[in-house]
Amino acid sequence: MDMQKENKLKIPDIIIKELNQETNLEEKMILHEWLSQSENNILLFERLKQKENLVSVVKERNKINKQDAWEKINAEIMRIEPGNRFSILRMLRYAAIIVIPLLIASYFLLHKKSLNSNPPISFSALEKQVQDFDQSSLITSNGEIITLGASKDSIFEIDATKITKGVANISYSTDKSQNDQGIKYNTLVTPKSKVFSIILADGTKVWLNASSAIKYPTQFTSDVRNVYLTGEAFFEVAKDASKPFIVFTKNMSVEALGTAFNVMAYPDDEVTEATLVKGGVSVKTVKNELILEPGNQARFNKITENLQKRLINVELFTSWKDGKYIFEYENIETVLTKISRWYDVDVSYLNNDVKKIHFSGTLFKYNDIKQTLHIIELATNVKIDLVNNSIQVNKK
Amino acid sequence: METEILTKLSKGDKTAFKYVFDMYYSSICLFIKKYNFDIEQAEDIAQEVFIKIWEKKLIFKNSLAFKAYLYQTAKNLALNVLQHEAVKKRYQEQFSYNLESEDFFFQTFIEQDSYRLILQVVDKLNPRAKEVLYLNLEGLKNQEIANQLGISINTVRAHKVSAYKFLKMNLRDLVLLILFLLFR
Repeated sequence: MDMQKENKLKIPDIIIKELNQETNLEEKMILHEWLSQSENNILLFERLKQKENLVSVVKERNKINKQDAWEKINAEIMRIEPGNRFSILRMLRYAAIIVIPLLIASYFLLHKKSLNSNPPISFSALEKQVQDFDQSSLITSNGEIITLGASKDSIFEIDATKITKGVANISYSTDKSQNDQGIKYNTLVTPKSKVFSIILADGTKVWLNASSAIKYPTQFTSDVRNVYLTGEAFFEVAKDASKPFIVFTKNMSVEALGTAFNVMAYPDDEVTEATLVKGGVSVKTVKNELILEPGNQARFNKITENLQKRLINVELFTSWKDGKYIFEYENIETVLTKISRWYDVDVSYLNNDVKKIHFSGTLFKYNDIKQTLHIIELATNVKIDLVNNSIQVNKK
Repeated sequence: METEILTKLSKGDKTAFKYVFDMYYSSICLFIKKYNFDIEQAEDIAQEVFIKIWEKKLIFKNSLAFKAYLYQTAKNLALNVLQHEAVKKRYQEQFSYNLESEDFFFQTFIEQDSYRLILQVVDKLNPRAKEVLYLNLEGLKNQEIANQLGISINTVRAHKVSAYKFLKMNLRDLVLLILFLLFR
């Protein structure tokens, strides 16, 4: 904590002492410094001494029912921790959570070099692959194309890595006999309306949203774990303190050691967003970088090239991997763009004014598209018609 | 606040937790209320703050560190709920404060925590004297206080005297003392 902030935090105690004429010289100096910083501070100090304000504060406080509040809190605590006895394991678990963010922060400060490496791939090529495939596909390092989702579980080997294929997911396991022949990359591509999940060789789990592609190493033998993404994916990165896991998108890179976060980088969107659920990540763009804490989101605007950090409700940005989208006061254009990717439809607006309308609600992916559109119609002032594979949006 | 309480708190001692709850709950509610909430919403968020404090069981090196963490968490949760840009913008336009700014945080923190400490002293009065004091502050006359509390007017005066003596020792400069003199 820097000195300025620490002094400001001491002000309430110093004020009370001042009212009691008990301040020492150092405290008097801190108080005077604070008072001299702004007229607002002087006004606040005077207000605190006025009886009228004290009375109104007391009245406000009397409206608070502490007893009820305690019962609610107590009930919640008992619900979370029914054992509620001192547990060393629990203490260690929480200690680890505090320590890890510190480690991550210091790691990022000390190892800046790894963040600057330019990705050796072309994002245009990756984006084109998304356009080219109408089925979920895996493209191996030697160019072989495997269509996924068609058959059930089958096991086959490629590049000495065993791949286990389920209907909607793939899992890699490391065969340690493989020695380093240069990193081999596979690319997983999803078309519109398909979500796919994959477990990488280090145990990292990736959910790939529709119209997306991720290029990843079949084995993590070097000292970094680099993957390349276009579209949207949610990552649960397996912890490996010796190897940072970096997601490269066209405009932004996200680096983590072991954590859970979402990256959204669709080529036709104006923004690229990285949302952190757990742990810590470092986000870099060409001109900026910042570190995220859980509940934060880094948002890069391609037009203004501005990188912004904001506090958000993570659920709104990660629920897609559980088959639903939660919207809070989101504009219709964004809502329908997301839906169009899910259901593989086009969107056209017969009235541009409707784009400004806002929608709040939860939409389930596995509903029939007509149901989903109907929900939006009921909640807003839009009229949506489904004509062949196209959504037409108009005002009611 | 004693280090003992902080240590116990980090170990999940519920008595220590109730102690900090009693000490800070009301102030945290009013602090959050300043972020443009009504009292019910503020209480809900404040309860979440305390639950979070309980869950995290962090180790604080002193009470200042604890206080900082408590109010910062309250700020973060409050802003989290206020995520709608539209709501924030309207508030900013109306009151020209930036709710997310550090300045606003410190102003609000200093205000609420100071009241907390002032009232903490008042809270130490014996319950009856406190009741009399609060009613007095609200503007009731001695007879009205006597009627409301079901005691004699002499008892009311006696309570005022003891309250006055107590506060004189503990909050000398507070203007409210003048009130006593006016009503004697």
